[in-house]
Amino acid sequence: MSVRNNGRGYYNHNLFWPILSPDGGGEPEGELLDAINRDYSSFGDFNSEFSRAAANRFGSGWAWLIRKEDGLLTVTFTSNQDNPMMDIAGVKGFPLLGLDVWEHAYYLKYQNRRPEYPEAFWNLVHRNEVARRFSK
Amino acid sequence: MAFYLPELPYALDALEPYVSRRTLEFHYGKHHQAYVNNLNKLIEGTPFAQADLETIIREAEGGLFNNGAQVWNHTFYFSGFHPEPKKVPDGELKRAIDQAFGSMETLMEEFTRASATLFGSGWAWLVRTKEGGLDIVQESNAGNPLRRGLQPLLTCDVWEHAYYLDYQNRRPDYIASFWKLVDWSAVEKRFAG
Repeated sequence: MSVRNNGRGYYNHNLFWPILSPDGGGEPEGELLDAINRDYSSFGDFNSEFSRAAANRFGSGWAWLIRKEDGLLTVTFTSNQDNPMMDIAGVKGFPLLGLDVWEHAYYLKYQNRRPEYPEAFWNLVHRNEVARRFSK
Repeated sequence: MAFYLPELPYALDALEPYVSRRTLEFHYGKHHQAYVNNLNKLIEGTPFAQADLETIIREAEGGLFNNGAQVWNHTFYFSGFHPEPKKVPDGELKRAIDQAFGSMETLMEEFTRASATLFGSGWAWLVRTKEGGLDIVQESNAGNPLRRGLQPLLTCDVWEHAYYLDYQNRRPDYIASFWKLVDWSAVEKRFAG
């Protein structure tokens, strides 16, 4: 259990830091944007669904945009340091974008105002890094 | 029935320096209040509209369970503290502790370990078992031992919101402060009740 917790926590954070950039924000382009528009009616729609998952799911965990085996994109949530590539994940897939919603990620800045945190996150998302993961 | 946020049994700054006024303003004033508000919204039009909190904890699922249990857990957690606590138990509770753990020190060590090692959000509990003995259990997120027939006697909230403003990542320091505030007369009353 401890290996699962620390191993996945390490992986999740390694994915998380490169996604953030002081020059982040804005819409992705090219095939990634096409895929988002195919599976959500718009980039804004996808943003809302992701923010809702990050804000409303109960307890510590991660909100994700994943590519499932069938190639479709979807928003999902895993508890604690679990990861959508794990066999036990409710919805499995390859993570393109992840947001840490453990309270330690936002409490010093936002305290109980969890919904403000994913909103701020969108200004930091490094779209080239997400596109790079999408092209893998 | 509508649920209300119970009054704190002490002033917001009464637990300083171990738990700051700022932490209580958020933990009690925002989080606990939000669970009450959410619960009141969620019970409307459900079979639990007239239920008491214990019934909701034992029988409800999903958001209803989460918010109902969090209302109960926080009330229980806050009422286990006192600014001038009784520092050691005696009487029947002391005898039960000695029987189950050998000593108070061992109980505190085991409870501290349960609080420190719980991964993610949740609660560590000292409980009375169905057989009448004492035990220490961990519960994730809103988990509450009533749900599996155990009687809660003491709890430590290890959601990060309980300690992050005061202790950040130093959960062990928070648990050490927790022990400075635990009022064993409150635990004795629960044990006798």
